[in-house]
Amino acid sequence: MENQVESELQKNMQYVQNHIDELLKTYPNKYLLVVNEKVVNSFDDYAHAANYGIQNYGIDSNLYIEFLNTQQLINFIFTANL
Amino acid sequence: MINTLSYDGFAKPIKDKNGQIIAKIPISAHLFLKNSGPLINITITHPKMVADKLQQAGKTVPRVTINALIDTGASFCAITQNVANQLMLLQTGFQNVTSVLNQQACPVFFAYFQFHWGIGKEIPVVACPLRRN
Repeated sequence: MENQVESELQKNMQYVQNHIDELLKTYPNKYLLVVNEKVVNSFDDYAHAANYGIQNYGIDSNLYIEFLNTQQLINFIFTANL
Repeated sequence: MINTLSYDGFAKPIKDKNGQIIAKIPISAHLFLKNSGPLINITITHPKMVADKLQQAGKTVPRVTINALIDTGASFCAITQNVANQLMLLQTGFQNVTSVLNQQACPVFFAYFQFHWGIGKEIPVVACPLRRN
């Protein structure tokens, strides 16, 4: 069961990686909720994405959450205001 | 030296001659961290929505209390895979974790951190192979 969930999550992760350019344009700096290799919604924070997924798909489904970060990571500081 | 006093939002209570507490003075988290060191006692469990679903299915909601290390330079919260397994947390993805040895995709779980002064937070936690030195 655990391996099956992990395998489904990996498929969702692969889906995001395959479509990353268009997803970054459509959902910049959003938490994306992906279920069964489909984007179901986007959110401003992680907890809302997870709770929405649990409420609508249950805890046994493959809820994959990815943050679409458009800002470059610079030495642990997300935004350098120089 | 690390002091492992648990933080409840107050400084050490002032007591009278009989040992009765007569005053509790609030102390901010940053002052506590400065004075008492970077270890904090927290309880990790499932977020409310997951806990409700488990209870509806007649299952117990596991929780563990641990000493957590505060790392002000960390990008995310990390737990061991052992804690994730004990709690049977809900996995929601993967996080690339880079160390001096390698880079690996570690599982991310949806968890609830309960602090001893009453508040808590639903957050993503990454299960990493942490080593005690």
